[in-house]
Amino acid sequence: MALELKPRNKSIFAGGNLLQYKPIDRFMRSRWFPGIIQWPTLILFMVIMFQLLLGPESAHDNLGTALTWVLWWPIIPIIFLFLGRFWCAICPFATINDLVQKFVGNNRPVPKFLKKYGIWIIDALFIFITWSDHVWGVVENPFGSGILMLTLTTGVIASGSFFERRTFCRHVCFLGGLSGNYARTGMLALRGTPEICATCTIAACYKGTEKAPGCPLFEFPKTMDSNANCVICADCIKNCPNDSIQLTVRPPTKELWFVRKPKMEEAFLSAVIMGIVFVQNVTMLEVWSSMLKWLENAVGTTNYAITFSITFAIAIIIPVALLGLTSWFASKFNKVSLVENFTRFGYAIIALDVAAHIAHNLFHLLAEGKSIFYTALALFGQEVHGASPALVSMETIQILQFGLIGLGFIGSLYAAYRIAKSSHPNGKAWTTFAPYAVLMVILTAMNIYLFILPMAMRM
Amino acid sequence: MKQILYASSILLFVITAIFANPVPVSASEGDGGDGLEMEVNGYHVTLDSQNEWVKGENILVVTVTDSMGMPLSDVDVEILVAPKADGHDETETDSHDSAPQDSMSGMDMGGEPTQETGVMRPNNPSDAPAHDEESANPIAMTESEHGMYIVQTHLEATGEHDVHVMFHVDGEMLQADFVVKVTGSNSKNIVLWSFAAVNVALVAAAGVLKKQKSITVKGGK
Repeated sequence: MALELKPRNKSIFAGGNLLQYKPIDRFMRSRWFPGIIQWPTLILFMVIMFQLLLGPESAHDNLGTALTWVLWWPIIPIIFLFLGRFWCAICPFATINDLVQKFVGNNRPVPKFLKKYGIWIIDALFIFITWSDHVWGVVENPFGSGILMLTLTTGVIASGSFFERRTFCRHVCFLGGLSGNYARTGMLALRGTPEICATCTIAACYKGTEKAPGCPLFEFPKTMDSNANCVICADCIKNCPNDSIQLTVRPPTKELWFVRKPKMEEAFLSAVIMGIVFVQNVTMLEVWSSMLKWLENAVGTTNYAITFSITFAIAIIIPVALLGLTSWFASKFNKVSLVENFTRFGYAIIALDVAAHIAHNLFHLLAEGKSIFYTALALFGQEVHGASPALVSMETIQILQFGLIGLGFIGSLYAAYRIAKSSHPNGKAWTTFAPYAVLMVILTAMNIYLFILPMAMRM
Repeated sequence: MKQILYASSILLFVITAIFANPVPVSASEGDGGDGLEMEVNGYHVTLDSQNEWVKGENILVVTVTDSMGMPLSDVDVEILVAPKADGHDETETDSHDSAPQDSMSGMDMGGEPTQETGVMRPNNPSDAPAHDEESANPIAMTESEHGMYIVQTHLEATGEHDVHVMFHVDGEMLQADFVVKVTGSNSKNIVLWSFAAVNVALVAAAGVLKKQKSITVKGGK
């Protein structure tokens, strides 16, 4: 009976369940999933680690650098957009966590402070890692990148050794925080069927069965209404005795249109990410050197850590302050507090965040993509001299970048409109929306201006 | 299936650990293992570094003996060390305004109008440029013992280096050319072993706790 409640005959483009297709259903339920993707990823990760830590010291010649910063980092936001947080299901750090947990795991409950302040910790870590990359050099230094990976490895080993499930991924991983936000724009959504889950009392999806462990990220599909902490590992699909879980395709950014329990720290992170994209681009301006010189004179020190920290703080403060100012302005119309507006509408920026992030990294992927092959060939003694690493021309990349920013703008604008409409159905929707529309125009214009300027390469 | 996967992953870890043994490889040395050796016009020249050719400060030692094996004393010995011209200049300048493309061989980065600034790490004009070893002049060596000449030098880069030892005998300048491989500093090894130690300690502690827990549970029953 329960099966009949599922929208089996709906097209996937109309929100139909992907699991109605036998091959997909069989694959997701298979014991090979997600291992068949997870284990090769772990092997590749080991190669990357070996290269980063013990391979060529020059980023230009290091396959680990190429695979990490030219391939993986640029494609990861694209994965979030299409597959939600699926990367986290096959992430090598998560695999190491599971491996350690299997043999020596103590499975202690998550510390309360992590539950309470986890996202703020992620926010702080994300800011710190970006700052340290600029000040100490991580991307351009293979060993530095290797140390970052080793630090994360130590984190997951500690977490897997003492705490239950994937505590690190849910409450500490900076990439997890980023992916949680980005996955909200994702086109793939996993949910329980409300009618079926309403009658369920066993919660096998959460607790686990002999078929598969419980949700690694402590989610309960019965009540889950967000992609933020679903890694689509399919454990719940395997565990559910009622066949309640659905995997559906939805329009990108749909989840941003209405967030049931918006959180200040997540809204803050979305503004911070915009600031980080700014700082990545600002440091490539032609006037950057003279800006830095001016700053050195102004603060009386040539210490780069200090001058960059000031620049970094300003870049982060700008979008946070703009969102705050807009929220204050909107509060004059909708009579809702600044904090509530900030928290609710901060999510609308995520679409532009994702677009700007992809656009920024598209340059590295397309202008340096061939360096992956060149560095791989170098492992076998085949040196490539004088060849361009570009996959497409600069003009093509810029067109794609502007196109992406345009799509991000539409996504953010529409999300702001939908949030205004759903939170103020009593006629104040347009007056609430208007200030945020202006904010999106400003943020988009800033991004476009920065993308007009030429970029430096990673390799 | 899972058991096979776990076993193979452990095997991979072990293999990686074996191959990742971060012991620096010093310059390829002669039969004696104490230094590089070369014959020049009947003179035997050996070259060695007291610091095993690690990036940073190095004390280079050159000995010159004649065909009879007698040390050659009171001669002018000079040395020139430069990153190998066709090799990889892997200078770790830590300079924010260093252009990665410039310091590396091989790829033309597309000829696009790129600025020489960092993407994830911006340029910092205040940083001093790295010492250009290729433009350095030969350094005169000091005779420390009979036929043994030393000099202290700073090697800025890792990778292959050309080392030219020049010495004057009977008004004639003779030159011995060596190629050495300069490796990274030992601090890397310390960092790597520290990580390894911390991770092993974590796993060991967790293992002990788990064992104690299982004993307690069994005892409780």
